[in-house]
Amino acid sequence: MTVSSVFSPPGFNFSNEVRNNFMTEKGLPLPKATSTGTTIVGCLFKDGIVLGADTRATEGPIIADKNCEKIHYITESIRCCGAGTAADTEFTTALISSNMELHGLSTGRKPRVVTAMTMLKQMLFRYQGHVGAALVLGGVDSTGPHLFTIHPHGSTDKLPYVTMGSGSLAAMAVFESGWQPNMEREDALKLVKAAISAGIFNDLGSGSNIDACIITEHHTEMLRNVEMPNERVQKERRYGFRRGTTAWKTENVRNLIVKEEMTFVGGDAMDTT
Amino acid sequence: MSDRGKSSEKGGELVFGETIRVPTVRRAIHLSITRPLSFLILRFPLRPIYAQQYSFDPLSQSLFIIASRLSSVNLAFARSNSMPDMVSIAQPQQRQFNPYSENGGTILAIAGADFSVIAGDTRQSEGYSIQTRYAPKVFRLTDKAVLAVNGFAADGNMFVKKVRQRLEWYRHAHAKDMPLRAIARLIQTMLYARRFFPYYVYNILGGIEDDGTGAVYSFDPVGSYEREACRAAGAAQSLVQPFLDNQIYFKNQTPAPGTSHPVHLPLSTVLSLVIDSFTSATERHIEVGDGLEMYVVLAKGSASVQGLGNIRGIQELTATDDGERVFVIRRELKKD
Amino acid sequence: MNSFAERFSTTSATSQLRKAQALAAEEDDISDAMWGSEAGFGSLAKGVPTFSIPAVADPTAFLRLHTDDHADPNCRIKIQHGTTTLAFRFQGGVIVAVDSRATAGSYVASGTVKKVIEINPYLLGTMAGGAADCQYWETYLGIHCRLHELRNRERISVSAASKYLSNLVYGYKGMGLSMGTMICGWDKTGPAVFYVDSDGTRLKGDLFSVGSGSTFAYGVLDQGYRWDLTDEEAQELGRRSIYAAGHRDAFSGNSCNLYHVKEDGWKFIGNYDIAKMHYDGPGDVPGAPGGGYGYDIRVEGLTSANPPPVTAAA
Repeated sequence: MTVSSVFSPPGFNFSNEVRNNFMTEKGLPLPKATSTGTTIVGCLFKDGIVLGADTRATEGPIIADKNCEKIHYITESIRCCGAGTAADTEFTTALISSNMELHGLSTGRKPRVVTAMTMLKQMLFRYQGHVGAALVLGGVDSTGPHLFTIHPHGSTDKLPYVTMGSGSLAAMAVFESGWQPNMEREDALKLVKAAISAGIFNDLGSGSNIDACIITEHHTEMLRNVEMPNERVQKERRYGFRRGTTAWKTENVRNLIVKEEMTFVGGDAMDTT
Repeated sequence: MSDRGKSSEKGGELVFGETIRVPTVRRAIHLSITRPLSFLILRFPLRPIYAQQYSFDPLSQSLFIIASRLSSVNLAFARSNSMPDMVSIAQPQQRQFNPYSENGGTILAIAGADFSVIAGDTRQSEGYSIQTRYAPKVFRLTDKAVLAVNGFAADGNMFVKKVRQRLEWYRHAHAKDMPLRAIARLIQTMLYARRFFPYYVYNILGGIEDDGTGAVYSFDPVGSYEREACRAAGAAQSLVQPFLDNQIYFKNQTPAPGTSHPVHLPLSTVLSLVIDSFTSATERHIEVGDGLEMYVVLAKGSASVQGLGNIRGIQELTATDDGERVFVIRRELKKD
Repeated sequence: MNSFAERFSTTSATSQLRKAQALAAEEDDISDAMWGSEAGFGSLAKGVPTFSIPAVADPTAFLRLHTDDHADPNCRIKIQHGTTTLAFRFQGGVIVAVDSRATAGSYVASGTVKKVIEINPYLLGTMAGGAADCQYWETYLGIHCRLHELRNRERISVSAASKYLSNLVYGYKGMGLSMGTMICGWDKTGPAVFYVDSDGTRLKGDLFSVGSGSTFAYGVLDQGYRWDLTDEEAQELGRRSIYAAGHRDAFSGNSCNLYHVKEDGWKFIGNYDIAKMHYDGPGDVPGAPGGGYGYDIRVEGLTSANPPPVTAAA
């Protein structure tokens, strides 16, 4: 084993922190991370949990991805919606998903939602908000359905209906007026769709399609693009370019076959008569 | 101008709620405070906006107040000996006078041989919120001039109002509409009159010149302007303008051997390009969407009028067909 | 009784007048002249332009906060910057050559800017710094040059015109105006070039270049400049210098506008695409050597990266 001569602590590397602050001060800010200025929601119903998310990812005012997936897999019956810095939500949920799988293997039981919640909040708290993940965690385990929100600094709430992201106010307005205890599956899905729609149409950070996920004790149904209210419209013109549109400086045509030689294998030449 | 207020004589004896009289309007007073202070709060009896016009320098312990249109200042001090030394970091909150905001949206104008098209989306937003889905950004000024404004909506609306007022006065004085090139110069002088307190507005003026050609003039916020064939401004400027450069000016397109690019495009092509510009900008920019308003200004007797008949939702704004004609076409854009 | 009633009436003629007077006094930025056309310069009704100033302690700091894109790239009002302009005097008059690019931060706001301002048929001004400042004040200068002609029955000298402009902008020193201009023309003394900027500097000289690309332009200009240049050589030197700046300075480019001032006033020589000058040259114009300005033609066939056509075929 070779021993590294440079001390490299585990976890994040903060060695450029001072330099980057200096550069920001001098007018060279950091490149913007893709953030999912988002609407994500979750609500409890009779048999389990319904999670919902929009599918827009933005970089400042520019839409980076029109159909991204914000409902992440944790375990078969636990899913997690992510808002905030796209990379952070993706890697955090992927890491916890792996740890949950290992946890399940080592205990021999189906891991619980609280376990995922505790892992997430401990990780986020350790990084003091530098991991910019705002999450809605939902699932069903042996103790029943559970729904949590986890904030970037590590605080959590356990509530029957929750929203997160830039469209959370629009979505919460829908929940506050429409949510009832012990809703039917169809009604709950309808309510989640309405909440996401409120975010899509009233919050500029959210848009495009609706993803939903219905988790019950024995079955998890991922409804990818369950509604697509913002289909791309047909363009008025076609923008094909004539061959030879791009100007060129020099033209150099090379023959790929440098030398051609035919060798007949076998005794006689082929009879071609 | 500077005036040592009585507070400096009183030194450390300053108490909460002391009132300093400022003798006349539009006067500035400068107070030196002998007792070290950590922070202070000022209360002004009149409009709250004037409360922002003071500065406090904790190093020299001096206070500077612009006393425009107010008669008295109510000073509240916190004495430093009641605070631990560490709190000296807590400086007074210096507020800035920020009258500007950004309301998103995009505008666009293209000039043809004998017409011009001026378009804008109708969404008005601030931050991540939509203030309204229908706020016009394109305005008809005369039968041959249309003005599109983008930037800070309050400034834009006020600016259009003032331009219209000046055009009406001109009409009363000269019994005719102001020529387009004169409107352009008027807009320059009106913008430049606010050189030191600019309108946060990007203007694009489109219409028909006296010689019957289509024209587009674009302005910066303080009034520099230029006549062009096409121009996009606003939130999605950097998305739309390169597209226009390619499709209108044929930038980076070499013509087929023995041919050349057309100098002017027909109206139907221009309208298609405008619609495609806005549907594309809506796809990729969060501040563009909801609705599209396209104004078409046709020169007197323009043959382009034939192509307008079968356009969905077109509406004529001019009463007669013996002069320049103005049409508006409204379309829906995506609302997410 | 009548006069008493009139004093307190709200509809009588005198009260209407009183109201109008009060209104006029209140809105001092609206003058009677604005009712007419005033050639678009309605704000000049009182002889000098009037400007709205924000009601803050330090208006200049306010302006800087909201417009200066060097200090804060995210500030909302972007004023266009970035330029190469040059003018030089020689035996045959004055050559004025400029680029046509306007930048706002790293965005090319326009590639077709007219940076030569035609003050009148004998005077040209160039534009560097704030586009609006140059356009507005040089237009304003044109008005006063015309007034000078009417009052004195002779054309204004370039020296007087440039001094008028210099005094004007000096009056706004420290308020945030930004302009670096060359006032060029032909008067009784012959060809003349004056450099005027918003700091108040005014210099008489033979040769100036202003703007972010000026160093590149000077490089070409200085090595090619002579007093006894022919008209064609001088025009070619102006074009070639702007090309050099457009090629090397990111904030200059797009195209070159060339003017020539002679005894009978200025003449627009032409507009030349800088990319085209690089590859193909300015076209069939007097003074041009033929071929592109780019160094490709000087290395063609001489390096391994540009082998001669014969070797390429072999």
